[in-house]
Amino acid sequence: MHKMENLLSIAIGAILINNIVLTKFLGLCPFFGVSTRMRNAATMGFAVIFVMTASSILTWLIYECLLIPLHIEYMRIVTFILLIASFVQLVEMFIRKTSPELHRAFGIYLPLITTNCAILGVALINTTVEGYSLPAATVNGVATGIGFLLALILMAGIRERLELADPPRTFSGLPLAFVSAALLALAFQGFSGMAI
Amino acid sequence: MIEEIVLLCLLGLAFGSGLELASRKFAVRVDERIEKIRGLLPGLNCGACGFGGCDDFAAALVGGSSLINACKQIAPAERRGIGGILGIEVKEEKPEVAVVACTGESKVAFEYRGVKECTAAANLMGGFLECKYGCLGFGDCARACPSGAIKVENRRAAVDDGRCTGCGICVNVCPRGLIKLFPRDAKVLRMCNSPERGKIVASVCEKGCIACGLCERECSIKAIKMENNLPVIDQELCNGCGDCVKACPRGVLRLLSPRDQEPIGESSPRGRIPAGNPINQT
Repeated sequence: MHKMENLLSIAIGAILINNIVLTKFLGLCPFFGVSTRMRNAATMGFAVIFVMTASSILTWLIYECLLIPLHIEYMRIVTFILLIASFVQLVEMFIRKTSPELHRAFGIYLPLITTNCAILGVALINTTVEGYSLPAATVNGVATGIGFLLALILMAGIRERLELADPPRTFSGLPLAFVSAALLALAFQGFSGMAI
Repeated sequence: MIEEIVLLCLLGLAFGSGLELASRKFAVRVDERIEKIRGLLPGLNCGACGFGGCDDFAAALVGGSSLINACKQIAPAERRGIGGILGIEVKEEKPEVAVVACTGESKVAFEYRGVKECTAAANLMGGFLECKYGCLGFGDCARACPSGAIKVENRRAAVDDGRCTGCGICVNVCPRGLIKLFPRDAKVLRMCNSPERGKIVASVCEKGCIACGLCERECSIKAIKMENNLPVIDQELCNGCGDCVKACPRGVLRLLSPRDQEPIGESSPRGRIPAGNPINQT
């Protein structure tokens, strides 16, 4: 029972309190790049959830089973990048073979995710920063992905409405998106310090 | 030190060979013509053909070669190349250019403060202009244009002929139906789309066509006919002498500016038009 509560608090913490985009400021390029349309944002978010979960498990395994026994923990970043990049490649090939529709929907986003620093960030948090167990690392991966999806959907909703607004010329487009992202991040600061 | 190097090499080797195996196992057989055709398509992904992009269009072409004319942007050489791959004869298409048929001089009927989009403005009491056929100038067309050829200046959309590829997306976007495609070798264009009677047009717009018929009378080769209170120019007949442009009292007719077309030699009929023609100085 105690363990379940622990997992729940990790999940809520990763989704709201330590939201990867709005509190930790990781993965900002897709946050601004893909948040212009709600549909694209949702697709990207789900792709990130999937890759984040899988890469959390894989990087945890490789960290615990290879890097720690060999005492070369400091090589973690290189190894993780190698692992994540080849894993995403593999997934892309698999999807292309099994489901062309899914490939068309996810096609451009999967390679983009490889270079998403949020994925590497989660892998590092799981292993060195927090030192989670495997179930905790998995939950953290899923929850961080959900947090990313939440941030992306919130931002896409705001930006779709902003498109109809009539701001001064210097503000229209990306500058306004930056301002609203900052306000959104401020709002998420309200979650900080919450004890679960 | 050695451990790290060996480990990384082994990992790289393992992942690399794993991917290689996977790429063989999951290889998707693709019709090689699709890739060849894709290489010959313009790659603008404008979607004017009705498909999601050039990739989809290339795949569709292999399925049904009659679709080739759906893409207006393929250069003639590439078009022939695609025809060769598909084993069909390709007809030569005349390149086209989009033109916004409005001078943008209509009086304003009321102040509009709604959503800054033509579609929204056109739906509110028929638009905020006195002329119900005039350009609203919020640039729906400019946003839709995949090649950035349309700009809104002084509340009126204008097409940069040099950038326009003639894809025709803007034609369907304009709620007023003002944009039309003309062959690039068209000589005289009409810049008004109002079929109202002359008196009504004269009361709402400084530069609208009042259907006086002077252009029809001035044309020595009878290439202009008045239909629905507007001059219709037969581009096949027209030799570009420019008499109608000079005759028009409202400046509605315009010569397609020379940079729109291939360089024009001395023998071209266009050469006869005096350089100081006010309508040419747009």
